[in-house]
Amino acid sequence: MLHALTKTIALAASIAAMSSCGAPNKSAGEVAHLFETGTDSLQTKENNLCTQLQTRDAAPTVKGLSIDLNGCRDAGLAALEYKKVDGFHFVGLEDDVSSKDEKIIHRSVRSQIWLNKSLLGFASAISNQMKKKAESGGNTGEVQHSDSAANKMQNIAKTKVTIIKEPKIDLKDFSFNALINFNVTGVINGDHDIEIDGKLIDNMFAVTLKTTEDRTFKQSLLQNFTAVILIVPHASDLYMDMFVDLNIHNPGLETLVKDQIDTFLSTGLKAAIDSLMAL
Amino acid sequence: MKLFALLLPILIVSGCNRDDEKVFKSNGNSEKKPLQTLLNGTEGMKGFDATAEVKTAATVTYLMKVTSESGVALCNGEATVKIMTNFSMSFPKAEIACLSLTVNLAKALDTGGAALGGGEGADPASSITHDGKVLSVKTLAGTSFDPPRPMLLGPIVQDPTIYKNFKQTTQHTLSGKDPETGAAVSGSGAFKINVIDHKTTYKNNFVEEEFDSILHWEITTTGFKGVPAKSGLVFDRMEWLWNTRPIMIPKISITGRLSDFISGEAGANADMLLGTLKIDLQVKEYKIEKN
Repeated sequence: MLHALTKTIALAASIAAMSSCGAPNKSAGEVAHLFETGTDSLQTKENNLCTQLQTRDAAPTVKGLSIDLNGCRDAGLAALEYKKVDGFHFVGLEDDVSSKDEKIIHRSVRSQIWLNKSLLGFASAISNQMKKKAESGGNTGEVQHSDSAANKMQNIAKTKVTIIKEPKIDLKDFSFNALINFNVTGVINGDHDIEIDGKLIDNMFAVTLKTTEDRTFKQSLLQNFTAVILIVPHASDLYMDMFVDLNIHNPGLETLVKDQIDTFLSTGLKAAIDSLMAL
Repeated sequence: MKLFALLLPILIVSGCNRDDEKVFKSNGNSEKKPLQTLLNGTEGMKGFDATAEVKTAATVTYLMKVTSESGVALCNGEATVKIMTNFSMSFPKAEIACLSLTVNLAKALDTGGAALGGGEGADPASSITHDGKVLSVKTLAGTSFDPPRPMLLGPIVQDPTIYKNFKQTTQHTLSGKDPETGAAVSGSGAFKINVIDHKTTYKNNFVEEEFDSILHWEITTTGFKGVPAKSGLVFDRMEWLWNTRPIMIPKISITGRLSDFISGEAGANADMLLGTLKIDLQVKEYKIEKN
């Protein structure tokens, strides 16, 4: 389930990067003002984005979400360089938040990474991939992944990501909305619909992901999740800041479950970003 | 709309050329990345990664009782089992006193790997496979199975009803080394899984609570002639009472011979004297780690 979750995050990031590549049908010079960010610090940029996410009523917004962005402080202070990492490093937004209900494990984590690509290069690579998809007959149904780093996980859990509602892109305000289904079977089982919203805000991109319904233990090990992805062009690179909030049904052996969650998150996220970078 | 969504990125890219990159880089050239001051997990953000050390998830003390085929109690003892966060198990203590003989089962069980995943510190993902019902292990206690041998049902059981009346027989080959003597071992045989009850209860005299979500199954082994059971844990029969939520193993029964644990003449003599034995492990106390 968590592996599939990271796939969706990567998918959302792809859409985000794709959508943030300036205005179509115009030259880069014509849209340059969109990217005039001055020399603000990364923290200043992220603060701006966070503030807007917290005050907006329309999607994407964190209003009404349980996720705590912790004020978006410490931007970039735990960011790894993508080209140098084997796995993802996570930082806890807080110490594990123990739910009053012992049958639920609450996990709140954050991961930061420099993607080592310019916004334009990244978007071009994704666009080329989308072009291939278009030529081969469309972009609906099950999403195929070539996530080599996650191969070892595939022995114990099979994941499937299906696009239920295609990304609907609004060019007027550079926003999109999509609905995706995750399904995992194996050592754990789960099935979730995930709503994804993204928008270009002040030359940066924000994406929110949330499960549409809570699941029972019988239906899914994961009760629900919320994630916020911030993509900020900075210092000739792309900075990605991911906040993930998970509620997991506790089958007992809480420490084992937490460690497995961390492993799945790290391995799955690395695999997903690898797939993205290999485009 | 579908076509539009697919064409959008093409339009984006077709509207750009190499010189356009300067537009996006111009300001960035004067910007700097912040220093990575929080990667060691200090100053407010707690760091962790997937390579973190394997920790103990639960420690369980079992009372062990060895009985003969005719039901005569022969030996008693205690075993401590640690269930690790990577699904493996370790056996820091497992001793039984049989007449004048003290048998260290921990050594046999821990040599070359624990019951699951190759032992403490090993990466279970490289050895474990799961088909949705059965967790199978490729390498175990110094041996390798082809295909991976069934080891457990679950272990995370979200819906016990999928195991109702579940039966499965699979054929396997085994190769490796005797974990104690280093001698080469090989053989072929079969494992038969039989679910006795998919939801029952269990209570003993040592733990106050009743375990009310028990999945009860047995795995019987045939074949593997000449292979000591401790190589790959190919005991004649293993019976599991597995509480599905919260996860706990209140009882395990193993049917085998003492030579499965003791190499050489001592083991052979014990077999002649005692024959087939049943080793029951009943939970006496347990501690589940919270962090």
